[in-house]
Amino acid sequence: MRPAEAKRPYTFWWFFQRFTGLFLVIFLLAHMAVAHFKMSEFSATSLTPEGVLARYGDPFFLLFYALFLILAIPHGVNGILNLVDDYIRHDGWRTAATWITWACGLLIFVYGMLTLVV
Amino acid sequence: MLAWLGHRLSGAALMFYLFLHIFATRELLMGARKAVELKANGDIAGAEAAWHAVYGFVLNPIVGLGEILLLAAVLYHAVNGLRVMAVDFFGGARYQKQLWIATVAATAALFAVFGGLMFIHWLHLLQGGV
Repeated sequence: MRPAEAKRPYTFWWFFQRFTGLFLVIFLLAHMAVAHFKMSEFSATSLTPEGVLARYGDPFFLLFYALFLILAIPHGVNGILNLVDDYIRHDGWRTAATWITWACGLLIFVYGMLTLVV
Repeated sequence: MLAWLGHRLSGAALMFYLFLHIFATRELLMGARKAVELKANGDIAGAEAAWHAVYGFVLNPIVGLGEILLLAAVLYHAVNGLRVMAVDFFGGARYQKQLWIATVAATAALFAVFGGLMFIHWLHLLQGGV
């Protein structure tokens, strides 16, 4: 009997993880520098409510974070699914965990996008 | 083995953090909107309180310490991810040992600089600074 996990297109995800990872290195370090380190004009003003609202009115900021969500969430979901496939041996629990992981990923994707546009 | 395990652990931690971070970010935006609205209505104290309710979170020293740990996880995951790509796509398997040493060295160096800066900021927070 073929194991259930063989259904996932691993080769695709293997490339996907490396491709998104390459961009995420740049995105994440830029994000940390600006948002966590306050290393820009933008972040200096973001310490105020007006600064935060100004960021959410800036098209570059919105595009940057929309792309960030698109790259980071599937990368993270796939990473968690690798753990799920490796450590959850019971077929039923593994299927459940896979669905829960996708659901959580979808939830934060929609919630994140909602934060950007509304 | 250690590299692989570290990548898994840091990756899982980052995903857990991202999950919370996305909810917290919306809270911050909502708090900012409320504060600006209250300020426009002349309620300066209310605006101040609304803003502090959301922004006060990042001024908490325990949260600040968590942010330093987060930086360590981000740096390791990023640098080791680059090592993985070097091995997979650029024939790095021949230089496995050197690449691993370089990964540890780069992560440690970056963490020493940026983690150090965050630590200084953290000490500043402890004294009630912003």
